[in-house]
Amino acid sequence: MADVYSTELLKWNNTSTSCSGYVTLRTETFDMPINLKHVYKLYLLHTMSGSQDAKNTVSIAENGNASFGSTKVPSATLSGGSGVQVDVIQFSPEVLVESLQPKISFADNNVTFREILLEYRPIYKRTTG
Amino acid sequence: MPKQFKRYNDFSGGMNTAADPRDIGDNEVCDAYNVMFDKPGMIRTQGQLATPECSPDSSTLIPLVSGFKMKAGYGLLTFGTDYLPVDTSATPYYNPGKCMAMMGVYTTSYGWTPQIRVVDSLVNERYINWGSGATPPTPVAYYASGAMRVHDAGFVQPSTWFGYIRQTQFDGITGRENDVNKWASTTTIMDPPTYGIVSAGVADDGGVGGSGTSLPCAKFEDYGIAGTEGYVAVWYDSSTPKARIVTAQSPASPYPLTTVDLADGDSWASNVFFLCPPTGTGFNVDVEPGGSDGSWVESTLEFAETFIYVGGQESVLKTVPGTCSISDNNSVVVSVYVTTPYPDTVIGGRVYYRETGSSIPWKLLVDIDLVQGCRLTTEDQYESWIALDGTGSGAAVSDVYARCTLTAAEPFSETYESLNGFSQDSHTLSIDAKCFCVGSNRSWAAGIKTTNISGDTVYYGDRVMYTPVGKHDTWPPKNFLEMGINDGDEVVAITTFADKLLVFKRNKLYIVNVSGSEAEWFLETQHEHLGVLIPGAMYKTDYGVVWVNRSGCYFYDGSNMVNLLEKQSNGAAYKVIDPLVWSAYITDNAIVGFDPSHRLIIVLRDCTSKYGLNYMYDTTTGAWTKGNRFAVDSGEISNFQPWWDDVVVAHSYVT
Repeated sequence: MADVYSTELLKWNNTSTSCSGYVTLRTETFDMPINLKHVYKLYLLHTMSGSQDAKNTVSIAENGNASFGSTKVPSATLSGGSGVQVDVIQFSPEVLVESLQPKISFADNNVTFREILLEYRPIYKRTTG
Repeated sequence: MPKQFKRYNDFSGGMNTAADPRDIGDNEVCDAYNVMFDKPGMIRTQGQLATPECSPDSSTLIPLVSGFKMKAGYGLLTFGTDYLPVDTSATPYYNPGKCMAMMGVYTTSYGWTPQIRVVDSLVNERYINWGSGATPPTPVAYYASGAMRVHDAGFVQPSTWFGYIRQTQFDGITGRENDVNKWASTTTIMDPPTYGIVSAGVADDGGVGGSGTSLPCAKFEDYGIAGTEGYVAVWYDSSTPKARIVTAQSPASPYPLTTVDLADGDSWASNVFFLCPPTGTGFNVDVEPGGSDGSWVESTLEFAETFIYVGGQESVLKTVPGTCSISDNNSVVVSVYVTTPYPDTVIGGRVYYRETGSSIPWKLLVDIDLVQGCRLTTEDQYESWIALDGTGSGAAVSDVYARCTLTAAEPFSETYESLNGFSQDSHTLSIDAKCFCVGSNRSWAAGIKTTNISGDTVYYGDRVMYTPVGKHDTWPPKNFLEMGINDGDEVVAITTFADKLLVFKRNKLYIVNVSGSEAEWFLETQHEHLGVLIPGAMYKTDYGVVWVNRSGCYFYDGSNMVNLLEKQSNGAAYKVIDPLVWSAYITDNAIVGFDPSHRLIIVLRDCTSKYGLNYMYDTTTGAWTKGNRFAVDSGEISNFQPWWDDVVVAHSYVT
């Protein structure tokens, strides 16, 4: 018995849709070399549709580390709702780093990120080798 | 020191995986997946695959094609036409739209059969059986001048022509009209006439001996007619015309041909009759010396015929039986006899002459148009067809014959070569090839399989061939370019943009400037490492040509070439996609497409995979991203093609 096939035509629809998989975004390394700084919060302006759950997370990597496993933001979930939402991710306690790299992940959502802000304070202390 | 804010709201730079994360631009990101950077000031989730509408002003979706399979990376061709529908549900009329052709195999549980499916923007569907056998073809195709040509790059299935034909052969000649207004398919459209006789004595004015069913014309014994071809003798009589199939007679001399019984005791002897060709297979031409009012010189002439197909494309010459001896200062009387109808793709033919046994150029004797009539030169007015009645019996059809008579006072100088622009010694005008394209009002082919003058099949992997301007089925053997002969590589894909021809081998790219006449063409540049592995890895957009291989993703706009994995900053180039990551990502089955409405270049990692991993490049912002939004449950993806303002693929899967 031979296999029987069907063929469907598919176009690329560029309209944003909820992803059934995952979406990961990393911003640039937030970097002021040498000087250490306290990073307190991450503000994320976004719109979102679809389910909101713990899979919508923000994680960070410190000082150029490739691992996004910091426990400073253990379960930073994003909020849903209509219109532009502002989520404030509080680092607890604040991180003391020479650089910091956020990663924003979500699933089953149609998301638009509009702005990302990091709140920090440089301190007069240089990183040690 | 007070608290400060680091703000990110310009993401137009997209992904930069090549630089150290510390060194990327403020508008770039280190990595991204399933997001887009195509709108100012925001990052948004990517779109997804969807079923296309049949046209922009309709919500009707292109239907599923059941029982059909396409080869990964191949087989999809879209084209526009002024005449729909393509199926037989109605007569085509002026109704501009688009068609989507899918080439592959029709699948059943009992086996597979090569087939072509065409769906138009009115959602009419047409299928065309394509060759035979269960071997899935590797389809390559091109569309030009109202017709699609499909070839098998594996050289197993025969080439197929599918196009719209509109003509009325013998228009206004009652009973001979063949009104063609349809989409039709044929294996080839460039065969010369199969039969035909051009000679003195094709028509006999009576008075010659013979009796009963014997044709009283001894010349016929020289024509090589076996009597099974279907030639028809038409007895010219105003009250009781007859038409009878010519059959063989034994013994062969003095009257080698006979016909079936005339049935009512009539005899061909001493009566006027004409010998007409088998239906639609060629032309019979009676050539007789006329009066002494001409300027022909004494000679014995031999003849050749051609068919002219849609698009004004003339076949190779076919030397036909027959001769005619003329004297100095003769004129020549030419009578063309036809048996209608002719194949739908035939619009006319030509008859050429030269002195018997010579090798001088074939000169035009008569130019035949199946609608308008005949003429002696291509500048003359046509002499109209005249119907010849003849009541048939048996296989001879009644009243399908016609004649056109002209008198040539002098020979004319038009030749086969002057009319066509290629050699009269062309032994074939047909080819098979591994890839095709259309540009500069020509068709181009590469990776050529054809026959040489000895009739042997030959393959030229480095050869590019081209048609004369506007004649997209005519491939003269001497119209070719060689690209790096015997270099261990072969042509995989070709395309044109502006006045440039791009020839892609597996490892090398040639750019040929094809502006002006053929003598002015020249190889502009050649580039190592810029080839492609399959035709689908190259795509022609409205702005230029894009292609992918393991070394990069390139764009050529007709004058400049850039690697899109690099950006320019302050006059210096820098990489935004890590070359090692890219080379590991791109597979042998990577394909590329272009979404015209959003100006997105889409690079699909592997069209044989269901995972749909892809890179996308926004040509407006220059931002790269990646994702898996081309994932499907199972099966394979064809090549990309444009469809209205979208880009489409075909997805085949086991049901």
